[in-house]
Amino acid sequence: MNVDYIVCVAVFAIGLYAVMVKKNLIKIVVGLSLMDYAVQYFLIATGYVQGGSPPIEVLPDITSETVVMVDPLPQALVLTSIVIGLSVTALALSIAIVLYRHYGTLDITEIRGLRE
Amino acid sequence: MITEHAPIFMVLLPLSAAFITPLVGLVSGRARDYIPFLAFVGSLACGLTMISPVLSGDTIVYALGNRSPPYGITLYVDALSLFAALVVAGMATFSAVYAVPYMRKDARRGKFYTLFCLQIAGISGVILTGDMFNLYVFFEIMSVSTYALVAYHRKSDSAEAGFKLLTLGGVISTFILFGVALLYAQYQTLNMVDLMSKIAMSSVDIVAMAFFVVGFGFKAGIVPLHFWAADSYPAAPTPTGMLLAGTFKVAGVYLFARVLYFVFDAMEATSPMIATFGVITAFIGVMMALVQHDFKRLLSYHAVSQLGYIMAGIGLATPLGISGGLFHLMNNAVYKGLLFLCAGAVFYRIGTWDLDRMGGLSKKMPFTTFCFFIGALAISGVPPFNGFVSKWMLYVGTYQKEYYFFTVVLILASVGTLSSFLKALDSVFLGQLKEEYREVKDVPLLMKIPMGILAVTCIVFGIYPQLPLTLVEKASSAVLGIPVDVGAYNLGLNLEYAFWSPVMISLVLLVLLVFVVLTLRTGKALAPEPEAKAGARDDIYICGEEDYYVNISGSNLYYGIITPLDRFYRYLKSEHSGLLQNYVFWVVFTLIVVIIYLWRVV
Repeated sequence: MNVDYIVCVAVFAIGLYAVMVKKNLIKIVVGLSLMDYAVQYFLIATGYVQGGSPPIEVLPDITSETVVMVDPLPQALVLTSIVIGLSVTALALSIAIVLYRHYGTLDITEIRGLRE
Repeated sequence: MITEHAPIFMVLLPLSAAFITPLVGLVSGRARDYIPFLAFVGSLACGLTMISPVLSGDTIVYALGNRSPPYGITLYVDALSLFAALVVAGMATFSAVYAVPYMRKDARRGKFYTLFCLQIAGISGVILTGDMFNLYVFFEIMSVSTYALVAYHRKSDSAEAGFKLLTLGGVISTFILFGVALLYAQYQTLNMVDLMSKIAMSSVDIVAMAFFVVGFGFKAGIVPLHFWAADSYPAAPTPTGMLLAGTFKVAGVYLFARVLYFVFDAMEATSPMIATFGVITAFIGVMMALVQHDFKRLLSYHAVSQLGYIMAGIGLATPLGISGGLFHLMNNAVYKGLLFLCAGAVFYRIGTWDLDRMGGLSKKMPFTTFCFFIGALAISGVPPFNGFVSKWMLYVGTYQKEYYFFTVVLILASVGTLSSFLKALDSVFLGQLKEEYREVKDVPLLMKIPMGILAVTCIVFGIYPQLPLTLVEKASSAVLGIPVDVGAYNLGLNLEYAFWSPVMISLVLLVLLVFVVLTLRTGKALAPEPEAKAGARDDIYICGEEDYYVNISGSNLYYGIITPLDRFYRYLKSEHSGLLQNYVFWVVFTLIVVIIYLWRVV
């Protein structure tokens, strides 16, 4: 069992805990981001090779035959995922501002206009 | 050239329209309003060009940038994805027409159109993509634009619904990304066809599969994950609400069929679970709908309930079940869209969603009433409308698979649907006209057109079901991998146990209608209602008592059914608490249940 994976699962669980238990809107958003980072970390960890070089073929002293490169695909995926995560966080915070204007609180347990 | 590149144009047209609309908006606001419509018509036309090759059995694999799979990004079009994409493009077109007059009063509507186009681009991409990571990206494009659209009005309820949807959706999308990452970590590939040949059902695969079940189930709105639905559909602007309630279920259901049945090839293991989820959803959704006082919220719970039928059909994993489910998916998009448009039309004129404050609008809005009537009959599964045909296929399908209990529950849910729509019809359109609505007119022509076409579609698909069923049969044979023939022939359907001729039943109903009209004409008017005495509605009436007339408000028509189920309702309401943590808890709970289930069966 790789230590990276344990850290991923732990961070994921902390994020989920924050979303499930914390009452403050901002903390919930932080929890969401943590879950996102955990998965991104996991993706990077899957592509990592011990002692591998950056996946750039044109660096002067690196040739693809002699040196083991890390898997470049997860890094590309994670870039996309970071951008998406950023947009979700920005949207969440802006909605939180609107909610604060309406309810005068950031406590999610008091924002319960819609039920049943 | 267009036919060759049709798959990518289905995604590209809405996507580019999203960025063209604000530019055109700088020049002319009116011209801008029609751009989404044009883009969706173009997208629909591209889809239609692919019908003939797909119906002849081809699978179109479109490699973006000419990089061959499994390394490049591909779009994968078989009968199933084409069917889903056509439903989406078609309904989006109607929604776009309706949006033009509906949104005209709104000065900020430019943002609405951009998000609207993005949303359609996202869902088309989800349906057409052949690559797991692109599935996640398109899923996020669809979801993020949905969050923004739900919160679009910036009122307290839309912001609240938007935030709750965003939090739940954020958790769900990390689940899906985690699932994709787990697959990539094991097989170093993201192409769906390639993955299918490599998947070995390790224990990690089971966890990934559970993540996907919860993720897609959330998007579709199966029961322990449906809480966002009733909040979000009413909060979003009506053209979006209409799509969310009917058409966006296509994405969830499609992904179930594509990922679980195709990529994981786990039909045997997962189908009983999906059918069970479906039946629970159908039942709980309709029970919640019976107690609603808000027009759109009532429709939203019915959307949840109808999804249950679809999932039950998909979960049967028989030719009849899957065809019935997919056909119901299409019909649901049509009549649910129609009902939301009617609700929007009422709101457009009177400005409230509260059932208790409406009444008697049939005299002022005859066209809307007529359309709502057709939609209500179709959703309740009354022949000869389209809802009946697909529901009937599902009843026969569950019976055939020997899930007798499911058949009974589905029929009961249908009864509940009909009764709750009678209630809606009664409180909105029938009864006495309220004084303040004396000046109300029917809606403008541009709103009538989509409503009219959808209403006609309800009738045509009901009387002539073999027209859509040709494509549906192909789609379900793409799911099952065997040729499917549900016995559609020129004048009806011939299933194993039962025969159904829509033309015959229509004639019978017409004759009955003539009798009804004759009776109405010859009968005498009732005496005016006496004043109800206080507390009279708590009394028990058998029949013919003196105090027969009891003033129960229209939305509380089923008082007599709901009161005995008090404890059940108290529990249901305590779960629909509006508390976000509660909803997240149910997501995690469902995930754990699904993992345990899959662990035992796979």
